[in-house]
Amino acid sequence: MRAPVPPLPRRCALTSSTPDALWSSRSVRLLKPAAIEVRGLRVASGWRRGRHPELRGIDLAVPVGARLLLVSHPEAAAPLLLRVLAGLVRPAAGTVMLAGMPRTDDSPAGWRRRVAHVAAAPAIYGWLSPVEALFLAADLAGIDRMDAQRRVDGMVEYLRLGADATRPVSRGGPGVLERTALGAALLGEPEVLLLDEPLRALDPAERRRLLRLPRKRVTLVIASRYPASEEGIVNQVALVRDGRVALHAAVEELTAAALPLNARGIEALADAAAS
Amino acid sequence: MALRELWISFRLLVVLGALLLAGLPAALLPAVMSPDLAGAPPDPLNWLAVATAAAMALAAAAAAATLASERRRGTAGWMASRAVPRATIALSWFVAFALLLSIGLVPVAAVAWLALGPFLLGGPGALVAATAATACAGGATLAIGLLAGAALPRWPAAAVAAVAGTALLVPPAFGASGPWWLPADGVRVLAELDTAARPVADGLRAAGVALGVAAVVLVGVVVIFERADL
Repeated sequence: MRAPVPPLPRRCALTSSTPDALWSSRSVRLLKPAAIEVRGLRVASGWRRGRHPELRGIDLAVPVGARLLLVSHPEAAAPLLLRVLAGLVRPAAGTVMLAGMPRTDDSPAGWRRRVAHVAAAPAIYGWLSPVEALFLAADLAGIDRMDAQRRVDGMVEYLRLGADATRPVSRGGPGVLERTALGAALLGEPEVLLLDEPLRALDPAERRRLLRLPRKRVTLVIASRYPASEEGIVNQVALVRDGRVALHAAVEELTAAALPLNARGIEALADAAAS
Repeated sequence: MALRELWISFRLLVVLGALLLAGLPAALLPAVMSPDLAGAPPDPLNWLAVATAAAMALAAAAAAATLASERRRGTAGWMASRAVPRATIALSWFVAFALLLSIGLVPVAAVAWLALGPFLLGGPGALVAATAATACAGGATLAIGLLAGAALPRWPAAAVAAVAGTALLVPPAFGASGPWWLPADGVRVLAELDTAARPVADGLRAAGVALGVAAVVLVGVVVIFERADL
């Protein structure tokens, strides 16, 4: 018997004028609006972007609370999509709504305070210690000092940084850098978390513990070249192939079709859906 | 943050060191060139202006390389994704380098006054005006460097900034004047401090023009940086 397929997210009337309280409330989970809504997104490649792939027309709607695995062919397309969503790359066309706010609103009070992005190679200044980096992230998120101290202490404990917390990040190795980057992203309690190949330097058990995430209502998108390593973390999967979304389905669909959670299984499901 | 990054990456030492070395011609050349200085126009002023111009071109190249590195490394993107406006990121690097330049020119002016004070018409006020105008010319060159850094990869940006800075700043140190060198007229004022009729007025005018050019170029920096991939 096939597992029930979650309903496709429908367009929701919530707009950027939605108060924070409503967006974060349980009613939002009942209404199931899209935390990420992308329509007709195009990113051109060119001499300035070098070998970056093109995105030819991305249509994607990720509901609130979803844990989406984003896989792509070519491999660079998924990280590029995340960077577009994070505001680091300007699209040539298309609309993006993030946590109910249009991506065109670039004010600090706009969508940026609800979205966090962690790149595959986290770029934190190496001379900062993890604690300093977390305090900097708290300062940039507009968190007051007393609250920042409490959050940083909690984050240091959650990340299990230990003695590395007060040493420069460059001395702690890639594991400390990646934990710090994740902690800095989580500190502002984002509604949407975009992770590009997160925590690859950690052992699988510790990685899984950290990616379970303390806040259930965060919408998570992980771009990964190793889908099998995200098993148990994600509940939806999307495939971007040749610049378009070829598949957006629940992980249960893979299981029901007796396909593994890896690149071949996802491609096979996409081919089956297309045919 | 920007100043600490400059310190850690040794760029602060390089730029400050270059500026301090620029003061050496004023201190050393009179003793080397001629022991009889009575009434002789001090050529060291020209060399002081040239060395200062070269140091400021180096600072512009460092600024270009820094901004391009911040883009390539992803630290600019990390800040941008933390809701720091891109304009703030670009302008903070301008402020950091401009501060460095201004602090570095103080000992240059002090050495020039100690070594060449008796030969300078107009007294200390003229030297202060000329130094301020030179700093403003350096600011305009920094802005050009940041423009290259916002658009180009690291080493091409540094090369373009160094060439543009040298072409803009060094000819006025040898007395070149004209519309092309207007932003760098402060360097010419410094070079001709011993013969200028109205050094303070010339210095203030040159400073105003340089600041205007810097402002226009910085607008371009912000526009390009807003559109750049981080």
